[in-house]
Amino acid sequence: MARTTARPKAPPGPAPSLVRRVLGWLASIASLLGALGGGLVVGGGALYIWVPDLRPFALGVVLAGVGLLVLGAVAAFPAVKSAVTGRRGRLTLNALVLFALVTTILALLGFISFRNAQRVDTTATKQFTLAPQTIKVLRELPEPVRAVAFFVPTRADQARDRQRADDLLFEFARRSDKKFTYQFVDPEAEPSKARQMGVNQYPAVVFEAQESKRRHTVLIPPVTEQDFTSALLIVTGTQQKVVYFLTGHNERDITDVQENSQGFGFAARGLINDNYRIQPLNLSQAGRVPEDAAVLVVAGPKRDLLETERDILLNWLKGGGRALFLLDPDTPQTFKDLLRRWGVVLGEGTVVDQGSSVTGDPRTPVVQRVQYLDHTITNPLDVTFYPLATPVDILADYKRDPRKKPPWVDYTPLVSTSPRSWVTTDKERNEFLEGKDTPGPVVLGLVVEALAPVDEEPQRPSPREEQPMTSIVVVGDSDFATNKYYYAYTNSDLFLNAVNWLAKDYALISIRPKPVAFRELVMTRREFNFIRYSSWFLLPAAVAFLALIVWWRHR
Amino acid sequence: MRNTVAIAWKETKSYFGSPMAYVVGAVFLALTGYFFVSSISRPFAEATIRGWLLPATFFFVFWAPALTMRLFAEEQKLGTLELLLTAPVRDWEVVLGKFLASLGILVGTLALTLYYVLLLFWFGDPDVGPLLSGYLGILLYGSACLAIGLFASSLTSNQIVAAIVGSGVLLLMTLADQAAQIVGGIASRVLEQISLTAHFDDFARGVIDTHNVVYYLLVTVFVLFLTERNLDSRRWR
Repeated sequence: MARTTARPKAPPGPAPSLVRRVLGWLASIASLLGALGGGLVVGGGALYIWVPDLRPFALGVVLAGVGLLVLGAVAAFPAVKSAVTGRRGRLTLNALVLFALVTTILALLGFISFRNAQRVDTTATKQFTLAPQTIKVLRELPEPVRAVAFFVPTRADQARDRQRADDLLFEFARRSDKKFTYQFVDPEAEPSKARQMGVNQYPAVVFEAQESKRRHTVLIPPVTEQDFTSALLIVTGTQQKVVYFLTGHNERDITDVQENSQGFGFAARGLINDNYRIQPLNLSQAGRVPEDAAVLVVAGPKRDLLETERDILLNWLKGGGRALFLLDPDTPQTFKDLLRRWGVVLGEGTVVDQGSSVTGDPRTPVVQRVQYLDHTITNPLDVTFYPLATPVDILADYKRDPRKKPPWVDYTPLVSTSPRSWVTTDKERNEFLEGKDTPGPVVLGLVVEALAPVDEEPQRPSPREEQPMTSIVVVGDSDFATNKYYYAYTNSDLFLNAVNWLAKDYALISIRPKPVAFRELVMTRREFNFIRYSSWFLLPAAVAFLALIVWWRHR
Repeated sequence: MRNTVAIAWKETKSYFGSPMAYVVGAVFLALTGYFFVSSISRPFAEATIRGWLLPATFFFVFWAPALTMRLFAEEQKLGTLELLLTAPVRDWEVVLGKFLASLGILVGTLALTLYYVLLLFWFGDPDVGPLLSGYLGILLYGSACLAIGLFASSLTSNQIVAAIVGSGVLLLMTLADQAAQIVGGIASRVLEQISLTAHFDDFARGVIDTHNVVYYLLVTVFVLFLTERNLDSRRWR
């Protein structure tokens, strides 16, 4: 017979209080509370760091998480207590304390090393050591500056400059405390970006101040620290290149901003928009060409230079001056004589062009794209025209026998009229007269780069870079850049390009250029093939062969 | 220290006794060889090792865990780790010994790449400074990666899991600087400081920044410390 034992009934005790019941229930879900709380703390923390806009909300999430963790700990107090005070708990606590200690020490070490970092430039030419001036400019940038470097990555001929620009910009960014940033853009893949930044020639690096939106383009090559630092000074408005306009000889007036006038107000405004500072210059008053003159513009003078003025100009040009001469048919002789020192001859008379000119006015030659000669100034130009222009030429001797041209002077013609053009001294007749007129095509613009005037030997026959280089652009017309014609076709571009090209050599800041030793690999095709196949196969094959032997022995 | 050397020696012998280290080394050399040749294939090629240094650092994401995955995971699987931990050696001696063995393989593999340097000297006139700084950088970078791989190996008894975890962590730390460019503010700075690659660029260019050196050393020491703690925790977990 089965015995049944009746379990004694528990004596009825007092009913558990509500608090105890709640605590009991909470204790059963304590781990869930802990997990949820931990998750909220981590998630809220991440949100706080990554999304600054949601910080108040993220703080709330973190606090809610902490609340849940506390609640879980209170609810499971006995378990927590035994976990902390038990053997396992003590060891865990020990481990956590040690972990926290070591982490803090290492973090501190990292922080100290970050604040006291020393840099050693191991390159032979100290390529990555910026000049103190540059570091100062970068540290004191008044507003954020962004540079966009336009290079075509697939062009092998741009690879070297691209690397150098990247290295330099990287160093700039590192020294600027995040105020200077840069990016590389392929202008062929993103032509809209290039257009937006006003880039029509590349490689180039465009510097843009983020608040004032001032912009400056540095054409590459060369890649120099000096150019980049100057660009920073320009876009932040710290310094500007100054363009002086010669006055005192009835030149074009840069203060005249009347539309359709003969003044140069629009041209001056164009330069200001390109971040230049404009100044008139009266040589007899100033006594010298100021040192900060990036370019001197001589626009359509009608009166002769005084002897002192001529000497000042001559000496300044000899010392590496950069000047733009815009001269009309009746230019005074002293100006002509000055240019003759550099082998430039301003022709007598006016150009008549029956092949390409403004309708009904053969004395205003129109120059089409095909008529420009290859130069940075003219490459981006479209149509330009020159009312009442005079020819610009080099000495007849040099034309007849180029060997007579001194080696320290270089000429580059810029603009040529059509084959059906000529030069005449007759002010009325527009038909060619054999014997009286000189047949074309006629050069209307010329670039001169010289180490000395043609009749003087350069003082030091050392490498060209070390000597001051005189740069002169002569255009046989000043009307094309007057207010009346400035905005017609691409006349304004011709003027601005000429000034930009001349000002390129003028640095706002003097930084000694570092000698760049290019360490090229020199090898024949066969040698390259040897390097190629030995690098591809020799080492991996040798090591793989060893693997095979080991595997074989294992087997 | 004698124990450390003994463990390192044992692990090194074990490396040379199995084909794994050779295979991993061969693949590493094949890839660096490929990138070296492509960097000097273009016209006006410069005599530098920059062309293969950066791709090599990325390859470490897979290379380092492949080399270290066995070190603890296998011992855990075979049960020999308990023996090792109860033997009269300290945990840190075990960790350091195994780490040094993997570092030895890294140094050996990098020594083979000196063949490229030899070619550069033969056919050009390379700048010695950036060569030295490049090798210093890749050695420091490699040690940090090996330490992370070793830590991953100590977490599991499965070698494949160890390799995947190690690669995952390294991938995140390699791509952190890419992420830094997307986010802004403090997060960007934090990510940049964490990133393994962001600290390497200077070495490749020929600049030795003490902060970068300290960074790789700290990562290595910290992760080795975590590995040692992880082993220690087996005693009371």
